[in-house]
Amino acid sequence: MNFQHVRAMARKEWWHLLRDPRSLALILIMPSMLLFLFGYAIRLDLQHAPIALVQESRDAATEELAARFAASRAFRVTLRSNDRRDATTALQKGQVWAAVIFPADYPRRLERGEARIQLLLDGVDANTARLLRNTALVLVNDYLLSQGGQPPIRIEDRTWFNETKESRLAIIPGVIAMVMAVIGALMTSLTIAKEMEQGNLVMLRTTPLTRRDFLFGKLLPYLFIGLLDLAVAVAVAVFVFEMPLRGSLPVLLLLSALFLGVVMLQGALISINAGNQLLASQMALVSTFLPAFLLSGFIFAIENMPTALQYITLAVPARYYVALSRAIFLKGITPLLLWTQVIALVVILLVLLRLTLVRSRKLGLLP
Amino acid sequence: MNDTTPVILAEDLTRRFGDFVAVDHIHVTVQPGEVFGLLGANGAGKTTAIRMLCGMLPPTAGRIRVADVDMVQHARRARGRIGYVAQRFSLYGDLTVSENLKLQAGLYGLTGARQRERLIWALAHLELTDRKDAMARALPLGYQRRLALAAALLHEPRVLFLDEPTSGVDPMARQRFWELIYELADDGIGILVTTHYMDEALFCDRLSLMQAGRIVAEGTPDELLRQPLPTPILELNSPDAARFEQLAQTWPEVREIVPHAGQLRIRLRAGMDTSTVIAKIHAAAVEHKLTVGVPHLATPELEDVFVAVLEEHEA
Repeated sequence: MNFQHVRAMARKEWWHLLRDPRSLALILIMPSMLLFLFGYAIRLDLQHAPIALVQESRDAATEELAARFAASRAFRVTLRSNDRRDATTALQKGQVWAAVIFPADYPRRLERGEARIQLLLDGVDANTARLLRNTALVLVNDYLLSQGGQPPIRIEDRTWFNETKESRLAIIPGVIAMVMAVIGALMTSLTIAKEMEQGNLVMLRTTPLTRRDFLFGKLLPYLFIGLLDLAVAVAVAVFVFEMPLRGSLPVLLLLSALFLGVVMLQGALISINAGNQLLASQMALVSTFLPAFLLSGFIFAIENMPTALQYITLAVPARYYVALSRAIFLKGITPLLLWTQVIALVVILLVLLRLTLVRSRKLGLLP
Repeated sequence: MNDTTPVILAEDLTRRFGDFVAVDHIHVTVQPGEVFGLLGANGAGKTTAIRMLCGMLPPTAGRIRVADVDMVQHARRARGRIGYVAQRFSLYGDLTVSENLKLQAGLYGLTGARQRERLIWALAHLELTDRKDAMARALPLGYQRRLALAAALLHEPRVLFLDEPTSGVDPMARQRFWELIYELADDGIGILVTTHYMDEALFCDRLSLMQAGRIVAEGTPDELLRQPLPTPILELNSPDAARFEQLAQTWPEVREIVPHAGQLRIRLRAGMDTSTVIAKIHAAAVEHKLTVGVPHLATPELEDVFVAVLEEHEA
């Protein structure tokens, strides 16, 4: 490697960046914007779900349990009625997601120990319906315990690393990974495709510059910008979303640089095959966003996927980075415990570098 | 001037693309201080040839030595000793003149004081000092070419390749560009230039004419002009030029008649005897009561030589 050549290329790339402050601003602001968007939009917890409460009899016993539903943070009672037909209409219109119905004979049967409550659920969103059902069950169970019932088994549960079980804490590292993947691949695919479109490579190929030095020099400024993006995103996560950062920040930055290297090479490989900025940016977007969103395990657990799909996720760099950054944010453990994930990223990086160099020689593209 | 070892020496240079032979066993020799012209129509193989000579495209067969380095085996080392100016502007439009030059200097390994010194020289020598902070894309075409030339000269190459350096440039700028080329040749740089302007061919010390991947004629402009034309040309002054043209067009001896600067240029078929045709012209003039001047054998221009050679090879 010739450091002088790398330096000359990197400096030139830096001039390009400074010459186009609007794009630079966009690159620096976009990650935080996406983080806000996804941070607020993706909610897997139940909060203030609209429900209907139907009390066919107004008595103290019914009122006591109904009050518990009304007080729960998970539910928001938007309809109260003494006629169950109101509830079914509201359910059909989608105004409420569930209806809790206390029949007229509830207090009488409660005394005999065989009381029933009906729970009607909107199953269009099956996941939410399941969450509503579980929450309602727990709520009734807690109520019974408070009434002095003594069940033979009690589960003492404690959720490690995320005591309040907020899905936000699991999602935000995933969102950061996704944003980094998109930004990294997009930036590099655009900048290399631009040189191909403008014919600058013709000139570079008559100089002593090597393909590898071209690539390193070109990617270096974007690696720096990507890390700057990451720092901003981490700051937003910690200070706005109150994300705990239990592990070491330098280690997180180091692993992020590795991940950025991977996605930037992905962008480079895409651009030499696409040849123009439009196609390259589309391909970079699709090939990073979708796998990072669907196959990285950040929303859908990889272990729950069909076996074939699980194997495919092995080639998705974001899955390793999501696992690593979650561990650093939430568990605060050293990545040495997750060394297989680090190795996987290094292997993908080397394979992509090799592919890019070989492919560009075959196409006679880079210097 | 040292004319013992050529700065460009290509032998049996061949390039195939599938079944198509773009360059077919050509030989090129350029001495230090020599301006060598590679001529030919678009698609004749000039650009493929220059790309191989610059090490951008590996040849299918043949040997290339440029500035004492084997271009096929050690392309990268050889590239450090050549300068190349592409036909299309291929520097960075959104960088300034001096930024483009600084990049180029870095790529050729020039640093510190040496870099500064060479930048100042290039800006001054190519009259770009006043525009050093201008965006390259905002420069007029002639200045863009000069910038490209400046970039190619920073590392003091021993060989310079210029691919159609003056196409699209106005005549004044063309003139100036050729003056610069001569200055560089006087400093001992070997220069290979491609062009399709026939008048520029005369500016070269030596020429090769390419057609369909082969070199079909070569030599100094004088040598080429001294060659007897296979298809002789008669020049004729006549106030009845239009009528005479109509009349003589059908003669078996005549290949074509071209009106040129108030004269008729009558190109004969290969092997025709000029004196017989001259006699025939006189006879026809008398017969049809036309006023014609004295026909005389034209001094061939380089273009005539090339047209004749190309037609000969097409046949």
